[in-house]
Amino acid sequence: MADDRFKPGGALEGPLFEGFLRRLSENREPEPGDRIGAWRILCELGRGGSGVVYMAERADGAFSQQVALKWLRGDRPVLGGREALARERELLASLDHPHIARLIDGGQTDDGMLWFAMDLAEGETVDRHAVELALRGRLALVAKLCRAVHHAHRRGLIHGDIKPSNVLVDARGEPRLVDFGISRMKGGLGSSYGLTPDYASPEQRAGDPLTTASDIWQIGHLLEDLLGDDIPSNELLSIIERATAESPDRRYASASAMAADIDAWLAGRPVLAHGGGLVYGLSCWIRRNRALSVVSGFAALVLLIGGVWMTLQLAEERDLAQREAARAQAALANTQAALARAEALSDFLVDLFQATRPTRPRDQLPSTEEILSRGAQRAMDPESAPAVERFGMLLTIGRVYRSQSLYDQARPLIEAAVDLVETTPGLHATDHARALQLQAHLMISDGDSLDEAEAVLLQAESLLDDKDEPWDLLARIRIMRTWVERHRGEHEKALTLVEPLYETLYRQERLSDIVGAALLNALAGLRGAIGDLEASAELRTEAIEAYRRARGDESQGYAVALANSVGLERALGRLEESERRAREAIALYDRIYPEPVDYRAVARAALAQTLLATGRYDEAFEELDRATAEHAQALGNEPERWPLRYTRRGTFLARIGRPVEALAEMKRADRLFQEEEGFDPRLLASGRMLKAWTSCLAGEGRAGQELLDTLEHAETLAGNPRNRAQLAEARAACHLETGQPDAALAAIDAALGPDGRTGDLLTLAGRQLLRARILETLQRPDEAARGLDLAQAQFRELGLDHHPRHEQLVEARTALERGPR
Amino acid sequence: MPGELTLLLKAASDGDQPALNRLVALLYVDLRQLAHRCRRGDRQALDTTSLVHECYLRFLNTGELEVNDRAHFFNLAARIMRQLLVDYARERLAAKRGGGAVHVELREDDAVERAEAEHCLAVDQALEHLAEIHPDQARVVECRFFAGLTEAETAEATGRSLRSVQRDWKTAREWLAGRLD
Repeated sequence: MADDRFKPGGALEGPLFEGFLRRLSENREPEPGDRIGAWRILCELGRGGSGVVYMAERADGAFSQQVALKWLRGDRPVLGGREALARERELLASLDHPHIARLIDGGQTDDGMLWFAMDLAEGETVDRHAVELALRGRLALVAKLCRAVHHAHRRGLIHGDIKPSNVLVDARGEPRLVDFGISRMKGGLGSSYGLTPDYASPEQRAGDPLTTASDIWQIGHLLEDLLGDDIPSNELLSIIERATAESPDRRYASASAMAADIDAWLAGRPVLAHGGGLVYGLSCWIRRNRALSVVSGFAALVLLIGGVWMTLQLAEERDLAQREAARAQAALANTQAALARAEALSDFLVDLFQATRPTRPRDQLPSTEEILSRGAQRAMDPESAPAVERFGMLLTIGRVYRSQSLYDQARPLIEAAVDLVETTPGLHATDHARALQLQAHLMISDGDSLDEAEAVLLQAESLLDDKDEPWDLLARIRIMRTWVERHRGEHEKALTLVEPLYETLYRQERLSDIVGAALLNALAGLRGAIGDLEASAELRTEAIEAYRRARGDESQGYAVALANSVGLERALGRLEESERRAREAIALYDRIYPEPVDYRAVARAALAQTLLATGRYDEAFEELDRATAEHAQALGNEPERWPLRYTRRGTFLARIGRPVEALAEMKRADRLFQEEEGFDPRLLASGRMLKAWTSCLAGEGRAGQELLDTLEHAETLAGNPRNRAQLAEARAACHLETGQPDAALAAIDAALGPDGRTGDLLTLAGRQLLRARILETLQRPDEAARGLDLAQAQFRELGLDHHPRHEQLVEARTALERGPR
Repeated sequence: MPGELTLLLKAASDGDQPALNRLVALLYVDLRQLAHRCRRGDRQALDTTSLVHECYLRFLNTGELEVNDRAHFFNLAARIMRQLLVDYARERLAAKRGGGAVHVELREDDAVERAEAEHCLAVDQALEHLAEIHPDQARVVECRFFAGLTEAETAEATGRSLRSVQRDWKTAREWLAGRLD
């Protein structure tokens, strides 16, 4: 049987539905004397289409506070929750800015109408006030509004209804934005119901969710209205056009960027809005510098540099990631106009330089050195351009020189930029920090004292002010400080510099993509350096993705991140993945660089190591040869006379159990080290140490021990865990050969580390074999056998039973069974 | 070019919340007109069960809707009516518990209204459960009980056969009655 309570349309009859309809028709306006919430209505201040504004005071007389109480004549109740409304109201109440009328209280009357109590802002509406103002005064007012709105946007709040009647100007001429966020709450969160049609942004008219871009559109519209026909320049027009662009993506990225442009106009500097910003800034500069009369003239110089001077003089062990981090300076992180321009220009140039290099024919254009040096001269010349622009160009050209290792040319430019900061009012603390960061980078690249570079970095960091949100710059400074700590071997300390940034900046998406990627890269490197391989591999993978996002999967950054992960994947036993990544990185480099380049050389060397680990020795040596030849050429050396070519071959040979051949390679390298000059002491020390190691492995114990005893700069090896372990292994080999098995055992245990497992497969196998020999000498065959079993197990875990090195382990194990010879 | 409502309907049925909000707002304007007519004493002239139907015709006449939007419109309108009424019922009950601020005139039918509000909420909650086990049946109740659609309109709105709508309506009412007793 059918229940009468559920008849068709049952919900649409009876007192409930009538009450519903009645409430719709009864919009009883409050009257003076009525109570709303904790407030008593005093008198009406004004009314409009959407409601009435009253002056009200505390009804309980607890304290005398007068507010503007706005009662909204609702067309409908707010759907979707009082809770969301209450949350939004709380957020709004937390807004504290001199140019924003604070929301004090708010709620819904019993009949569902919304009301809000705000700071009582007295004064006239901005359009009336503006009539008496000169152009500059009107612009200054709007710039203040921009900053106020930016303040709110940073807290996740959107005004939604910026228009002349919502901006009141008091007797002192200070503007105040009223009704913040109210249109949003009125229409239900996320809706734009009940807007002032003339001031509705395109997305509001389309009924799309509101974003901060909608507020920027409305400010732009307000500026247009306030200026009326009085728009004296195309630059002002371009500000309005940028702010009110139809597509939100084409508008100013933030209200403060718009304020910066208004300020720039007021100060007679070029505005970014014009012609897309970057190009305009550059063309401005070039216009003033007749010698470089076309934009493409300047662009061309940057395109060319790479092809001509790819002679990056960096020691082989320096992490490629560090350089990528330094190069990858993109994104306009800061809001100040001067800084934004400097960064915009340099990013423009550097990006162009990186992106188009491969296709540009080299010999069809004039000498790039000449153009570049002329650019540098102009930038140094105080007459050539306003200081703010010169600052940007000095840093840019300085950076180009630095990236080409032309430190002597870079230095005066960057120092001039630092000097300029102090004498130019248009430049701020953040600009100063930026210049110092570049200076420190130059010092580190140029081999200056690390302590001095660190002092400069610390000064730069102390200049940063959270207010400007200099997050990218902060991250860059911190990443650079980790290099200093890494050189000191202070990996843990280095981690404490960057790890907090991962949580506070990266996770909260406050960093530009490219700086975020650089941060991940730095973290991955540090995690790996302290032996946390799993975490390091995860970070590397994340970094690879970040570079792919930031620069695309054909970019150098992506290729570098891939190549950087090859060793880790290998150490974690993921040999196929390791090989795949190496090959992908090499293929990418092939597309980017026709000429020999150290990036690809390092990727090839990593591939060679992986091939060695899989037991494909012939392929491994071929790849290693290609790697070292390319590396030597990239560094401007003759491959046959480059000692690292032989130390690497020697290391490979030693690792696969061919110590005599290994020693021959090391001796050759040693001769070359002595004949050629100018090698980094760290490389010399490492070459000597490897020679000592292979000597002792090959049975030349006395010679090896002597080398170790007289090893110069041994302390430089201690900073790097890999070198430290290698040195310990060399000592173990030599102690064994010179009849000191106890000392040898201590040394080999230090080389193997606590678990004797993590790390490179062949390195571990070699060390276990050495350890077994030591233990055998000490007549502790059981322990020797356990170590060999452990090493064998690792090969089997990876399915490498047929690996030649595995067979050697099996032989050694069998020999052990047979007892001492 | 399709009318605004056509576009909104499409967006709202794709789960676009702002579009749904906008639809609610538009429907509300109609409800307000209806409310004003009630106030002028035309209550008898109105058949509230054809409310949604009337709205549809009005939008059709102004060119904001197209004929083939009809099923879509009914479907969403039923959902919106349910939401509006349930929200109102909830507010009525909250107000009686002291949630209001402005003094409230007592009305004779307050008690009845309150009982109905409770019933309305109970039905709404029961429907939530029903939707988990028999979503089709719950949709039918929404269309018929909250929006007053006829069986034929309900079939159209839900895109199902008249027979299955009739069957669902019967089963669901029995289920609801058992559940609410």
